Amino acid sequence: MSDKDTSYYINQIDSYLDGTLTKFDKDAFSTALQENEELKNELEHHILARAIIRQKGEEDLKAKFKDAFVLEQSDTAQELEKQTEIKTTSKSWLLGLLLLLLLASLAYFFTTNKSSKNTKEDTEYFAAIEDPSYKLFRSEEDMDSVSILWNRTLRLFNNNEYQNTITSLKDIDENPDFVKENSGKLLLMKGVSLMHLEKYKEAINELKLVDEDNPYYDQVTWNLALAHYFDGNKENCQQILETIIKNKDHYKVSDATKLLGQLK
Amino acid sequence: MTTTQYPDEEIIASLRKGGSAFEDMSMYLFHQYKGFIVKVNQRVHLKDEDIQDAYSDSLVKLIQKLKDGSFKGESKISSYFYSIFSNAAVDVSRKNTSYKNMPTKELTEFDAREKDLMSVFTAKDQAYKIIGLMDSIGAPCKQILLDWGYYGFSMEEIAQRSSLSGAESARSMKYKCLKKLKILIAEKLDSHV
Repeated sequence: MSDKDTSYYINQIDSYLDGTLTKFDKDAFSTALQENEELKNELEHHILARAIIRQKGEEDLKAKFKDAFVLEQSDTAQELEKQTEIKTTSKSWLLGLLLLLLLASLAYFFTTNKSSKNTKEDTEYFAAIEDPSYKLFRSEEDMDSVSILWNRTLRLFNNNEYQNTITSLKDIDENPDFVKENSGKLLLMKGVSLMHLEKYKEAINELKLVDEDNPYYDQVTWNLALAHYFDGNKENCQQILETIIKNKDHYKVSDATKLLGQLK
Repeated sequence: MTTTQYPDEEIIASLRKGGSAFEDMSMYLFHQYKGFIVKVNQRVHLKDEDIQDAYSDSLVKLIQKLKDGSFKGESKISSYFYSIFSNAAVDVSRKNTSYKNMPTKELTEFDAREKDLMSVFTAKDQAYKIIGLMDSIGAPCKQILLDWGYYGFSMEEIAQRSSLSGAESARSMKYKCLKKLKILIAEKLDSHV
């Protein structure tokens, strides 16, 4: 059999193994197989190669399932954090409402007793209303426009619209004061969104910008570990997990221990 | 995916179709049967990572059996999976008491033709070395061969996933990568003969 013939049959190996050859071609292939040692070896190597690919494919799929478990754990943690945030927000609203009621009562008191009050008291009352901090608290100027943006971003993030979250965060970037005051929260949200978009390296770069003394730093370290994990950098992931475990107050000590166990 | 219920026939058809349909259906099954984890673990009391490991292993096994026709449709896929998962969990529980959990795929699970070839190697670790050859061909080649040989993506899809110019380029790359792997296999086999 010529090299050309051997090459012809080698190209037919997959069809032969998959049973898609016509009866005529299959018979010809079987005959060639008996006569040609090179083709026989090639077939054996091909079968083994396919077996290896299947084996590796199964390992790959299993790794995807494991990643899905890890991602779920991370999502559950975030959900809990959101719930805590909502509770805190509700408390803030309640306090705000009480403050407003108090101010309204004061206003009512001063208005109804105006005739009996002297000029000094009037001045004090108006001074209280004109208090700049009070104005700032209720103002609909710059602060509110950022708040609207922030609420919109939060809503997008909660709806798992991560690409839109990133776009919305860019709008917030135009408010340097807000960004400066909320850098940890913003970087964390950006990092987690990028992670969900499977842009792990970008996520890592953003998360790394958060200072150690930032209140969100614990969440940042955990998500940084996850980002390295998904990026395939097990070594860096392991280092961060070990740091988390050493910090007994860290909220992810237990999860970090589990993940580290899986890595080892 | 998780809210839709797919009939058994559609699950099998999607897995056999390969490519995105295979990937989506695999994740659907992952979410669909998660309720079994708590149920099975009430009996075996495994650690989270162990029960999750057994669950992932069992899903991979189920998917292979649905793909290759070992599942004959004599029961519902969910019941069939439950028995695979339940056995795997008991197995892990038993193994935990003596030695560390072995990798999912035992060599005996290869089909007859593959098993014959695998019998060339007397020791299992030699076989694992052969399987490890996939890691020696480089990440791009490995991805292309997995997409083709395991996930069943079309050449057009492979081209897109691996940023190649088109189906023809993907076909040529697949050919070269497969050849590379076969050369490594031949070298390994020669060194053991």
